[in-house]
Amino acid sequence: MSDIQARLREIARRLLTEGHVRVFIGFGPGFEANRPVPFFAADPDAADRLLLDEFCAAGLARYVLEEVREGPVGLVARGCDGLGLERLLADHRVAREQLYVVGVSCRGVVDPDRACAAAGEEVRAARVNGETVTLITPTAERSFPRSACLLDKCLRCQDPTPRIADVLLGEAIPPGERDLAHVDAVERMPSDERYRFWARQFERCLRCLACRQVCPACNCVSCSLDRPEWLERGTGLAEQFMFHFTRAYHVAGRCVACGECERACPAGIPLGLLNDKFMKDLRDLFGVAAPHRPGDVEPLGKFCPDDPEGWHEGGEGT
Amino acid sequence: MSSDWQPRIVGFACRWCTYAGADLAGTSRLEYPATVRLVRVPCSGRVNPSFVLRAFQRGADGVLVAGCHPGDCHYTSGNLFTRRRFSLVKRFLEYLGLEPERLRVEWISAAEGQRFAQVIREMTDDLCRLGPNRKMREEP
Repeated sequence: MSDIQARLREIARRLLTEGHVRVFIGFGPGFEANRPVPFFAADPDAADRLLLDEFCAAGLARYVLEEVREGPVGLVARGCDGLGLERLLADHRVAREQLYVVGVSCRGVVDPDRACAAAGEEVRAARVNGETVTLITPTAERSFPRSACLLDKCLRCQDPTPRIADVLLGEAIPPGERDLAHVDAVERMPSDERYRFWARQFERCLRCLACRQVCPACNCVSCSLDRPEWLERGTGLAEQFMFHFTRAYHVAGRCVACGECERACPAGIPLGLLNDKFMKDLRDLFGVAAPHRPGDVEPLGKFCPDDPEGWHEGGEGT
Repeated sequence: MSSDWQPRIVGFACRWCTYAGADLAGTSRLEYPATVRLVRVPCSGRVNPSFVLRAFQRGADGVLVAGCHPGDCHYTSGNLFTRRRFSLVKRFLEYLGLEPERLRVEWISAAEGQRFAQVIREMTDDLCRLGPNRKMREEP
């Protein structure tokens, strides 16, 4: 990764020096070695503080929305960032010529909490190999399975390489097919149990709206979630159901499965399970092969004359 | 639950077909349970999925969304969008734990008074068996 990091800095420096971009968005050091934070390099010297390692977690696409108002933006993009950018481009919120995308292939981001728990002490660095992750602590260097170290969103990721990079650092990894089997597990519950499951999840919601703020599909200028006639401020269970239903439905057919909502949620609500339910039905009912990859027209913005009536067959698990 | 409990159904009816179909059921003196409260909408495509959830939250035991048969939409394609939308929404509400019988989507034309009465009878029977909806409800 350090070789790619050096090239990233070099490209960012050149873009800023030559004035191609006003700001370059990447990652910089956080308070802890395993928690880098988004970093906005606005002058050539700042480019040398950019870093890229296995702990760079936050999605960067959504930051573009604000930054691009002041001028062209460069950024480093993994697969998930790339899909987010595609969403913003498809929604005409950003023009392609205002972006300079430095693509990198990502094999998964290490969740510092998970990794520290697995290693039993502070993890300073990590290497993501094929099926294992090597965690480096002050005393040891040991390998663990991916599921014990990576963010949930990365475990399900099938888009390691962005599709819209202006320049790609390192090798491209071909995309795979998203597995939606985790949705089946919820579908198989009896309906009362399913209701209790979601009630337990939604009860914890703080209504901080972090899921909306980080979402590249939630890019509307004015949001119904801010309007009391659509959603009250209360955090009673009924309003929580209304909130989560509305949020998930508003990104149905537009969600790019970047997993940012789930990563940003301070209450650990499995929001991906909601988004993926819509994805599974879009795939199964309307034949949208990869609903998370933005296309010409969103699946709910069009129809076929012979679409099935999906409500006849939805009664599983009762 | 008392034995004379009757379910409350909120029906969203397209003004071009289902609403007229309900009217026909009435003028034909067809008998069906007085369990449905109809809300006239310009098209089944007008029914925001939030309306459905809100209806359940504010006391509906069942919700009916009804419009013109595909191909017959007064606005050409409104009900074809409804078909996609409510295919997803119905499955999603079930995914959140709602019983499948509580939400029905039906195509009922202005000539189908019989059909309207039959749908209400079927829904009422199903809901009587299920009892009052308590899921996702606002506290009274």
